[in-house]
Amino acid sequence: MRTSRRTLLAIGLALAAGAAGCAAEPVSPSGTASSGAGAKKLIVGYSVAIAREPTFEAMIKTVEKHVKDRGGEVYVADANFNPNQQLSDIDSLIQRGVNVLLVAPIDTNGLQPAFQRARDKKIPIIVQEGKSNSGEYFVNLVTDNFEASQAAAKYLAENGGGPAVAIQGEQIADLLITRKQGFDDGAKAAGMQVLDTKFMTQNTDAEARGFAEQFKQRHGGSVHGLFAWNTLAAVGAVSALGGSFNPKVVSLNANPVEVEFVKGGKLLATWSVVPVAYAKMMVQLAQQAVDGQPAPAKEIHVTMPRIDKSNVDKWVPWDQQIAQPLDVKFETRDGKTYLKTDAL
Amino acid sequence: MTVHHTDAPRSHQASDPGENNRLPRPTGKQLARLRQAIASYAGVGSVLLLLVVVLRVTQPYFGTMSNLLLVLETNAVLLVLAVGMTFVLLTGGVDLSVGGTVVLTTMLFGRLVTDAGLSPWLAVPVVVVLGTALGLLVNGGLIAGLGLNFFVVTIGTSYVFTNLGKLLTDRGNTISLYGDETIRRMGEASVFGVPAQVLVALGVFLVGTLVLRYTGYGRMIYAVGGNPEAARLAGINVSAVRASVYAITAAMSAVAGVMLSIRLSAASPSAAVGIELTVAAAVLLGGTSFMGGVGTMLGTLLGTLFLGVLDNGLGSAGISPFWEGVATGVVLVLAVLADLLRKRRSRTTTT
Repeated sequence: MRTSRRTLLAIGLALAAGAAGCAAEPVSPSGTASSGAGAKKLIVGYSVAIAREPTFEAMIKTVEKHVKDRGGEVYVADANFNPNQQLSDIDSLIQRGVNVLLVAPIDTNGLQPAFQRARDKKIPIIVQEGKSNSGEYFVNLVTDNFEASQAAAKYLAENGGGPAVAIQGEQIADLLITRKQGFDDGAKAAGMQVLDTKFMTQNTDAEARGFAEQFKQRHGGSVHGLFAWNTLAAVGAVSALGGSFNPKVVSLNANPVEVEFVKGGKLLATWSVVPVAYAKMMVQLAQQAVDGQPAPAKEIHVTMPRIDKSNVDKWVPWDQQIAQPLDVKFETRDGKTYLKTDAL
Repeated sequence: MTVHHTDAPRSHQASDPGENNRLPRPTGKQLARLRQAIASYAGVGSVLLLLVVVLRVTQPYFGTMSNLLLVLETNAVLLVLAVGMTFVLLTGGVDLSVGGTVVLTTMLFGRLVTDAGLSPWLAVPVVVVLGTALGLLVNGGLIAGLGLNFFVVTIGTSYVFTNLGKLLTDRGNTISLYGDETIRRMGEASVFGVPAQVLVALGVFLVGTLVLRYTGYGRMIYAVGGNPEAARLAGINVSAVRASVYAITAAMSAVAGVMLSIRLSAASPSAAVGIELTVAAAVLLGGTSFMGGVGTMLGTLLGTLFLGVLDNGLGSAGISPFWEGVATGVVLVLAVLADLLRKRRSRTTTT
């Protein structure tokens, strides 16, 4: 039995991560055809922090489709934001004989015993948003959450969004802390005053709406900008707009609902976690790991592109992105390796 | 004073003197006890059995020894918490602060080992004693001492304990204990392939069973839950018994907190968030009455195993975890319904 509190917290972290993948099914084998010429058969174990979230569902669908296209198999395990369960999930995937592990961790610290057992069996690990000092992986994938949050603050300031208020995630995990730090840093750099900051603990759109109503009562028309740390925060904030309270709103994640808000002029901009491009990259890296080829780098960064009125029409629905062939490229910038993608 | 005991029948005390050469025939009382025991466990027991058979047939991986041990290891913490919760539910109360206590004690354990440099072997008893004291003095004191409502008190302390635990985090993050060799060894320890955590949980279960079934204190718990006024008239210190069960559940929460920290090699503030409802479900599924006075540790074990097998089995089958929640809820409601029908039938028969 799961509890709503845990699930809500999980969704929050999952959205914040913007990098983990998730399956529609908790543990499901898919694909049985033989491997393509020259490549070894992929047997992917995919352990996700929580599966029932749009970004993660898109990632899991992507991994399942493209591994299957290569004649491989995928087992997806949903920890439903229970670290104890995720540890067991990884052990279970190892016992099932997977030859590569993709892990969207709740917390890399708490998975080290299972990671060590995978290493003992020479199973390469591709970790999503792992802490940089949390162990040896085939590759650690890092979304530039700090930079995106920083850019969101600057963009608000440039577009008359100051003074601003912010709805942040509960400060109990790296990603949530990072997003707050990025926004605060960007606001400071832009000289934008942050009048008020609220922290979501229930992580529901209703909670975010409540915060927006409080901003309206306390600060009224003096609020010109609002930062929403994730999709639910954006949905709640947008629903409270009206009357004298009409700040410009920016958000992180760019789930389809946020894209619709941008089209409708309710959101000034949203920064995308590019889930499909990210997941395709994971499939390619998994193949390289199984084939014994090195990763392009031990840490690969993923930039979060901005979606605003100028480019929102170029946004391609996730299902169409998933259907497109695997074409993964990397580039080096400022000494770091990045996923090169035009996807929004 | 009526003490409702639904345990399996005790050893035969009498046999028909005229039937020495044959197997002794059970007496009417023993048969009644057997019927009662079967009725108590029939609900969750039969569903569990059915589930195991179906999974064994449809999921070849399910029946492997390594997977079964994994099921036990994954649910060892749940069993420890459920044993503690059984004591509370038997008195007619409930402790919704177990998740918060786990968070607080796991973070405290992490801090003691990392910041205070305490040996894990020493940190374990320190944390368990502190946890027990917290349960006795705060929950026990407010509920049994001042007579406050247990729902309100334990919801309140759940918030307090959870957030005190979060204050002990490392900038909001988990405290890694992976660098501690002793903790790593504790986490990997096993006896004949059975993980130490499983043995600890079974040990806790065994002690809980013995206390409830064979001690005067155990009978007092049933008495207090069955009819507190009658228990008081019989000379039982009802307040002391009530306070003690909150100390027990807090002690079990502290043990669970330490177990989680050792298993994960990390003290995580999110490791047990919201676990109290799962724990209560495990105990109620096992036939323990929410009204108190009725229930057994064996039932709690079955309830815990049901949740563990369901989680593992449905996951292996690729079935949505939402169905797991639906199945748990349906079986829980059916268990309560069966209990109600049993009581009505019993009342009708008595009349």
